[in-house]
Amino acid sequence: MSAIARRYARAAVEVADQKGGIAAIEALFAGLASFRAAFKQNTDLREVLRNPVLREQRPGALEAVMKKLGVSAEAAKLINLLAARERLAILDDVVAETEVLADERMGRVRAYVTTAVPLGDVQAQRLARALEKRFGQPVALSIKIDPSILGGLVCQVRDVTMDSSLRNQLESLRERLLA
Amino acid sequence: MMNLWRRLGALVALALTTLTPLVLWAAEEGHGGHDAEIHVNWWSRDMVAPPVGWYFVDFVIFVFALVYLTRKPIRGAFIARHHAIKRAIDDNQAAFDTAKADYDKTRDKLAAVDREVGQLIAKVKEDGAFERERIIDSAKTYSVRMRDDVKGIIANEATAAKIRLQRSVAEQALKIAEDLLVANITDADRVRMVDEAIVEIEKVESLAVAAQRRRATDRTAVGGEK
Repeated sequence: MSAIARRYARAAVEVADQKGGIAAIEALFAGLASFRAAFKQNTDLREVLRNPVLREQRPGALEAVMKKLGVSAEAAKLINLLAARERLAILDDVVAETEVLADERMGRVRAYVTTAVPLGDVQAQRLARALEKRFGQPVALSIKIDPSILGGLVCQVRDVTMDSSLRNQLESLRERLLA
Repeated sequence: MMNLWRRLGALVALALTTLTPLVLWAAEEGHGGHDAEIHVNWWSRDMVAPPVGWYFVDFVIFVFALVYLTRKPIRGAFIARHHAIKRAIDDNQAAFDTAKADYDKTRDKLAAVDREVGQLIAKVKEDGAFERERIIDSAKTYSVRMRDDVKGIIANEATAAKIRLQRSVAEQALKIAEDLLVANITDADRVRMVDEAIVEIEKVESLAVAAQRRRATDRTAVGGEK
């Protein structure tokens, strides 16, 4: 993670905290995350934001996209600033740092969960509760779907990784067979 | 001088001994053979029979003069010849001695060379035998080492092949298992596995509880030691 991304993220989180507290920080992170997803998925949006020839159309396109995504005002300001300074290449780092800072402000830990199928609401709540019990503080889930793990789930919190995936069991079996 | 006179006397005696029978024989033949009376004219002047005595005297004078006149040159010549022969003999003796010394030296050298050749041959034979033994020992050692190396290589290769085979079998088995899982697993199975994973996480005691338990265990251990 670059120092520049860290500075942008810290500045945005502080502004959001001053204006709206934790809810604004949450909205900032949610807005940045949704914009990053749209930026990665939409080729036209990337073309508009990266092509210098289309610099005139950039504010309008950004405004339309952010309005459609419903991002918060602080998130919109940060995205506009990054686009104006040709810094959208560090958007991933800024979002990750914002996530970390938001979690710190809200006193929670982030659990990165990978499953082969989407988790149901009940499963997500059970998992969050189990992790809160395990780590003694609120847990926010970042869920990723990866069919290559075949089944089960992989959960990483801080430096602790709990891997009960079928892929991991197969790898363990391979290690035992080859040992 | 006495020696000279003695030699001269001997010469006269020789002449008389040799010539007298000849003179007598000639006189006898001159007077008609054996039956005639033998008459020798020694000193008279006779036109028919020459005076033999004077002839003897003339001969002796001649011989004396001859000896007197030629004595020194002949003597010098003989002495020179004697010295030359003596020098030649000495030179030859010296040459003989030198040659003999060379011969002895050469013979000694040849004997030394023979001895040296003999020693050399013996040494070469000894070295050859030693070298042969050394080569045989080295070959034996090398063959043993090669055999051990080959055994080690065979064992390593066998082990490696076994490991490769096990690995291949394991990989194939895992591939088949994975293919079977992918083909047969359903979303319901995946949801059930997630539920089971959540149950496993729920079973794990919290970090705080684990830390408290660890501290309590440590205190008990320390108290027990006291």
